[in-house]
Amino acid sequence: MEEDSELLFAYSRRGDVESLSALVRRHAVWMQAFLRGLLPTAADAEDAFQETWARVVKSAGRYRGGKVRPYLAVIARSAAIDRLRQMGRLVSLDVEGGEGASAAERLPDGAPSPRERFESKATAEDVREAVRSLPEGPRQVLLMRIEGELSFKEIASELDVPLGTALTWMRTATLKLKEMLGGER
Amino acid sequence: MNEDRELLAFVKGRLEEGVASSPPRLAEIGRAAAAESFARVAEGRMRRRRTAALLVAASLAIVLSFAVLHIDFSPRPRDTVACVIDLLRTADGAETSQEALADIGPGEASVAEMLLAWQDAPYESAIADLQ
Repeated sequence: MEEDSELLFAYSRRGDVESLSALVRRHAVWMQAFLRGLLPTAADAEDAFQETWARVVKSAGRYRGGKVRPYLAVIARSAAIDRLRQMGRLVSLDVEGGEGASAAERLPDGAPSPRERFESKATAEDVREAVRSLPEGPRQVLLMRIEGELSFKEIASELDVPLGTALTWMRTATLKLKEMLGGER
Repeated sequence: MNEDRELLAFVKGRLEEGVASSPPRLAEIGRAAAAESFARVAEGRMRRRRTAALLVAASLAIVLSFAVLHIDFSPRPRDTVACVIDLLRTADGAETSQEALADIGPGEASVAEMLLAWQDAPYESAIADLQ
C-alpha cells in the first residue's frame, strides 16, 4: 500500500486525482470525528470536511513531505476555525468554559477503574457532547492529539501557546472527560 | 497514565463511531482536484513559456548590446576622415572643412592618398601619423 505522502505527491506532481481520492478515503473517518468535535453540528463538520480538502488541493504544491495526518489536521482545524468565525461562535482559546479544572479536581476518590471505563456505557453522542463542552483550548489540544496525532510541540506551535500550556490543557481535557464520562456509566 | 491512555482511546473510538467511512461528497472533491490540477498544469506551461520568452529576449539583448558596443568602439571611417580634415584645416589656417578640402589640389596627391589610407585607420593612428 502506498504511503500517504506518496499519494499526496502523486497528486501534487502528476495531477493524479485517483491518488487524492484514495487519500480522502483513508483519512475520512478521523477527520470527520475531529471536525465533529470542533464544530456544533454534523452538517457544519461536513462542510468543513469539504473545505479542508479544497484547501489541501489548493496547497498540495506546497507540501514538502513529512507526516500527512498532522498536516491534514492543521488544515482541518483552520477550516473549522474559519467556519466558527463565520458563525460568530469562535471563543478565545484562553476562555475557560464550563466548570473548569476545579470541577475535574473534585473527582471522587472512588474513581472508576480503567476496565470499568473501557466498558463505559457512554454513547458516541454522549462523548461528542462531552468533548464539545470542553473549553476551547483543551478541546483543540485533545482533538489535535488523539485524532490529528500531532506532537505536543506541534500543537503548541499551531495554537501559538507555550508547550506547558498545551500540556496543561491536555491534562484539563482528560480530567474533565473523566469527570463527565464517569457519570455516564 | 495508563488510565488516561485508556480513557483517550475510548474517547477516540467513540468519536469515530458512527462516522461514515465513505467520505461525504467525494465526487465533488475529485472534481475540484481535477480542475485544480488542470489549472496548475496550464499555469506551469504558461510559466515555462514566459521563462523561455524571457530567455530569448535576454539573449537577444546581450547579442544586440555586443553589436552596439562594437559599432560604438570601432572607428567610423567618415569620422576619421572628418577629423583629419579638421586637423588639416587648423594646420593650414583654413576656415572651413570645405576650404581645407579645396586646398588639396592635384599637386598634393599624397595628402589625398593619406586621407584614403586613413579612412579605415583607427582614430589614434591617424592622429599619431599627423604628429
